This record gives sequence, C-alpha cells and structure tokens, in this order.
Amino acid sequence: MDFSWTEEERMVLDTASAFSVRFLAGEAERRHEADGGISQAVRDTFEAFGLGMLAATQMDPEMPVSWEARCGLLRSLSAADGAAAFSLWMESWTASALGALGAADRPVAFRLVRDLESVCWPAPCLPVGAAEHLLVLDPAGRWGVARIAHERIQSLGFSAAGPARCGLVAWEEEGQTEPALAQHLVAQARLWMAAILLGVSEGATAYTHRYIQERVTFGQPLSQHQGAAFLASDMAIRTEGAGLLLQRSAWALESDPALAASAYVEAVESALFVTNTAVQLLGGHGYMKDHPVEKWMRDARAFSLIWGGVDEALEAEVASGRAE
Amino acid sequence: MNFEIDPGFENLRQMIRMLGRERLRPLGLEADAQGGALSPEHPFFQEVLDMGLTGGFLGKTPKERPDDDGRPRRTIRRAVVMAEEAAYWDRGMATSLPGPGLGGAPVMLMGTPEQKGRWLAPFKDRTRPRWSAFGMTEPGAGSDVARIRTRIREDGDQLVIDGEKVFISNGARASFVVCWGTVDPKAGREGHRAVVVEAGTPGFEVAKVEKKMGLCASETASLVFSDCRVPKENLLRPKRAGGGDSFKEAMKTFDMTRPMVAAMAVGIGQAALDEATRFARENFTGPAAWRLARVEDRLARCRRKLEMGRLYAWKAAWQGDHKQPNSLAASMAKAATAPIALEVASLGMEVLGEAGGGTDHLIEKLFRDVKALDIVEGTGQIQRIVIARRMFGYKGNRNG
Repeated sequence: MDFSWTEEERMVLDTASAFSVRFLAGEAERRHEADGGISQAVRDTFEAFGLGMLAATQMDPEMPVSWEARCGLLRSLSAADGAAAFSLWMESWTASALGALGAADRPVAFRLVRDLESVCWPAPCLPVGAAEHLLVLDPAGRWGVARIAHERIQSLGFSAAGPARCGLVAWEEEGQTEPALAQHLVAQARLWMAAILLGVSEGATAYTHRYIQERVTFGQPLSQHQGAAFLASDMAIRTEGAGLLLQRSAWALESDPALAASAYVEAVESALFVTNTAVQLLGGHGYMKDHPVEKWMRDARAFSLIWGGVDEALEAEVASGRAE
Repeated sequence: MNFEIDPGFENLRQMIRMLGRERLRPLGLEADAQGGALSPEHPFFQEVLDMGLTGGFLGKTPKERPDDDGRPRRTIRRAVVMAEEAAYWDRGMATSLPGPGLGGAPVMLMGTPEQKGRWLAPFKDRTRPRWSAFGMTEPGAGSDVARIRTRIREDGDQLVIDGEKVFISNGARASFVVCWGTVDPKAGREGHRAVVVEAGTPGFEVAKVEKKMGLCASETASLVFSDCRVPKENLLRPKRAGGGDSFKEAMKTFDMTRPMVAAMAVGIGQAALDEATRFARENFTGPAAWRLARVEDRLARCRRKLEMGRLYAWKAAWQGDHKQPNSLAASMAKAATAPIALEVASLGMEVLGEAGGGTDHLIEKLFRDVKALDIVEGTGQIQRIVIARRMFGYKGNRNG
C-alpha cells in the first residue's frame, strides 16, 4: 500500500489548484452561477493549462496520468466550484467518450441511464450547458446521440453547468458497444461525480474550519465550543473516508470498475452531511448568499440526483456483491 | 498510489488465518462461554510462541528508525493487516497473545539500552509465555488521563508508588506493568512519570479481574499499588532533556496503536458481515425470498463502509511507517471505524432477525465485542478532540 503521489501527479494537482484559485473560486463562482455558465475565456485557459486533455476516457501513453490523480484534479477544481468544474471537465470527457464509442464528433452533454430502451423524456433537470446534443449511455453498452430541445430552467443547484429540461427531438446516431467499454465509461462517470462531490465537501470543510476560528460566540471562538468542534471534526472525518474510497476505486478502475459505484454512494452520503453541517455551523450567515456554503449544499443535493443517483449506483453495488 | 497488501505480508497473514480458524475463534468462544480469559497456563500460549508469533505487533516489535537500507519501514502497515486478520477470528484472543504489547511500547520508546535489555529481551526467550501491561487509566481518570492521581515519590534510591489502576489489559498475568503516576499532582502533565513495576513486587496487587460485556478472552484487571517500592532505575525517562514529556511519549504510543485498533474494528465488522451474508443466502429463499431484497442494500452498505474503514487504518499506518505525523489520520481511523463496525454488527443482527439475539450465532458475540473499540485507546469523543485540536486549534480538552 502506498498513498503518495508521484512528482508528475503532484505537478498536475498543483496546476489544477492554481487554476481553480485564480479562475473558479470566490467572486468568479457567484458570477458563473449568475451567468448560468462559464466564459469561453475561462474554457480556453483551462485548455491552455493542459487540464482538458486529462478529461479523457483512455490513458494517453505519451502522458500517463493515473485515474486517481485525475480524480484528485477534478476534486481540486470542485473545491472551488463544483458546477464550473463539472462544466469544464465533462465537455472534454464527453467528447472523448464519443470518440471511444465511434460516434461523430460534436458538442454533446452526457446522460447516464439505466436502460436506453425505456428512457423517459423529457429529462427534467440536467446540466447540459449550451449543448444541443446528448450522449445517452446505459451500463449494458447501448448508446445513442440525441438531438435535444433544451429549455433553460431555474434549478436547485449546478447553475454554472447550465441546467435545462431536455426534450428528445430525434436520435441521430445509435449503437451498441462491448460491455467492458460500457462498464469502463459508466465507472468513470461515477468517479467524476464522486470527485466533484468530494471537492465540494472539501471546500465546505475548509471554509467552515476557517469560519469557526474567527466567529466569536459566548466570549470565545466557535471552534472552542465542543458541540461545534465535534461537528466540524466529523466533516473532516467523513470527507477523508469518502476521499480514500474514491482514490481506491480510481486506482482499481481497470480491474474492478464496479467499485466506482461504492465511491459514488459514499461521496453522496458524505457530501450531503458535510455541506448541510457547513450551513448549520455558519448559522444564519450560512443561510445567506454572502457565504458560499448555501450554494455548496444546493450543488451537492442537485448533483447527486442526476444519472440515476444513489439508487442506480446502489443497484450496481448490490449486483457486484451478489457476484462475489 | 497502490492499494494492494504487500505480498511480503502474505505468509504471516496466512499463518494468522490458520491460527485464527483453528484456535483463536474456538478458544474465543470458549472464553466467552466461561466469561473470562483462558488461564495463562493454557497450552495455547506456548503453541503460539512455538509458531514464532508474538502478540502486540504480531511478529515484530516496532523499530525506532527506518530500515538500514534507508527505505521506509513497513512495521505499522504489517501490524494493521495482521491486526485485522487476527481480530476477524477473535479480537479478545488476539490481544491476549503473549508478547511485549502495550507495556513494551513505552519501554521501546523511552527506555535506555539497559532497560530494554532488562524488560524487553526476556520476550526473546520463547520457552514460556510472557505478557506486559500498560497502566494508565484510574477509577477517576479514564479519558481524562492528565488527572491521574497515582503518586510517585522518591525515598532514597527508591521510588514509592501509591494508587489504583483499572481496566488494565493482561494486568494480572503481566511480568511487568508500566505504571503511570505523578510526582506532583499540581504540575499536570509536567509531573507525569512512567515506572516499570515487576509482578511480585511487594505492595503491588491485583485487586480484581473484571467481568465484561464482551472481549471475554482478553483479561482486564484492576491493580492496586500501596507503598510499592521499586529501584530508581525503573523510571522510564523521556528522551527530551528536562523531563516532563512522559505524557507525550505515551501519546506517541497511540499513534502506532490506534491504526491497529481501527483495523481490528474492521476485522470484527468483516466477520459480522460474512456471517450475515451467509445467513441471508442460505435462509432467504422460497417464501422468505422477499427478505433478500430488503437486506441486500444493507449488506452492500456494510461492505462499502468496511472497505472505507480499512483505508483509514492503512493510511494512518502508511504515514507512520514513513515517519510522517499521523496523529490526525490515526484518530480519524479510530473515530470512524469503531462506529462503522458496530453498525455492521448491528445491521448483521437484523439480517439474522430473532436468531441474531441468541448465543448460538457468532454475531451476537461480535456485537458485544466490537462495542469496546469505540472506547479503548481513546473514546470516539477523545479522537474528535485530537482532530479538532490539530485541524482548527480546539483547546477545550488537552488530552488524547
């Protein structure tokens, strides 16, 4: 067992951290939320930093960056803004997925479903940005590229990722890929979502830990009250555990893709606990939009509903347990 | 990163697995049925020595420095893997294995070469089993260890000890106890000292062997020291000049042992999960098939939580082996895994239903056993105090 990053991995993570501090965090986060998307300039910078190319479905033999490092990268971006991170990451990854499936290149958003044959339309609330097409994939390897009529909606969270109600206009392309590739893609999608939720949890934990040291109540910093201190400790404990499971699942992506479902379910559970606790510990201030924690709580809840949410991941987890 | 168990651990692990299946599990059930630990004269303990196994760190005492070739040591990683395996079969039996164990650790950390030779070297003699004990907890000072009241005073070339110790593992069978006391109750931690008291020293008595909810195979004793005199050479001196850091030295022991306790919790939880899974597959068929669907979600949850628990313990162990500060990871591991394992045992009992409450299934014992792990070596609350102090400067309680 070894929990260390290589030099190259550390470089990638440092780059991601530098990018997110400069272009995603703080005021940028609220601006992206209000705009319902991120600017082309930020997207170009993301590419210029060399980060977009890592959101790929395959390992680049020229530059092999481990799956756990990629998850770490996405987690780092999401610690600043999960919705912006989703938007940047999924744009590149979905393009790569199209290539892997042998579909024509075009700007698409992604939708993971249980069974392509019986998928319901419209998709009531999906983060699709400006895409006019959806790549729809199920775990059995059936896939299709749908032209969609999307109607921008107000949603609980992920506003910067362009939430929309998506109606089906027409299937433009359909196919069936081998189960191994399908499993691989489904597992990646779950890992990415887990990484985003973990990043949000990490951001919320760090913000709360800073806040409770500054905020004075009953004559001393909030951090010195045991009731608050224990909750804040639990935020860190939960984030750490879910993060370890994410690293382990990413490391095993090739050999045991079913483990990604576990990482996802744990990430959801911990993110819901952590972001809610962040709002709680900030009290009334946490409920106001002056602090980002209320947004993180909304993002965590909204993100963990899409792509089949916990139920479908749990179904996959149960199935893999049955096979053991 | 790498999440494989070091292949070099495999032989020892297999050996513990065999020992676990053949001996630890059945003897643990026997001890549970009789409500107390096996006698120190039980032939099992000599068998363990003959196999080349040692309790505590299971196979090897921790080294103070990285291995000579400059590579990081693997001691704690090996210890957590073996601790999980042994606890899977019986945690009480695992902690009753002869060896330097918890009492040996402070001698290792604070002892002079002479002291190590005197108290640790005898463990190399494998012709009879030996134990040691760690005497910190008192009736009025459990988690609040800084309040220990046992007095140590000088009298000529002797140290005189007066006080009581409770919940001391292997306390009645140990060949020596590292007894923590204070030379000045007003001085707080600065006054703390650790003294080695050998069994049979006049004034040192075993007052009681406890009856417990679980972990019956592990002996827990109350000790009394009254006008107990030992030579001054029995004082373990903290390495830092000026003294007074004994407490910190004791806490260093926890950075090594808490990951092991976390791994033990995972081991017990895994045993409960395996039992529940087997029961569900065997019994939830035919008209009872509907229950399988109900419990599968629970079982998947247990599997996931245990895998996560294992990773907490591994990370703390890995950091310790690399000489990185690991108090935070060790406390997180301990705080997280003990409740996870209890939840697994509890959900596992639900799977068995009414049968789960009877004593003819292992799971009922596991449920009782595992509860202790959220209490020993710092309760879950103490772990949170450690975490809060390290992460955001919590000052309220200074222990842990």
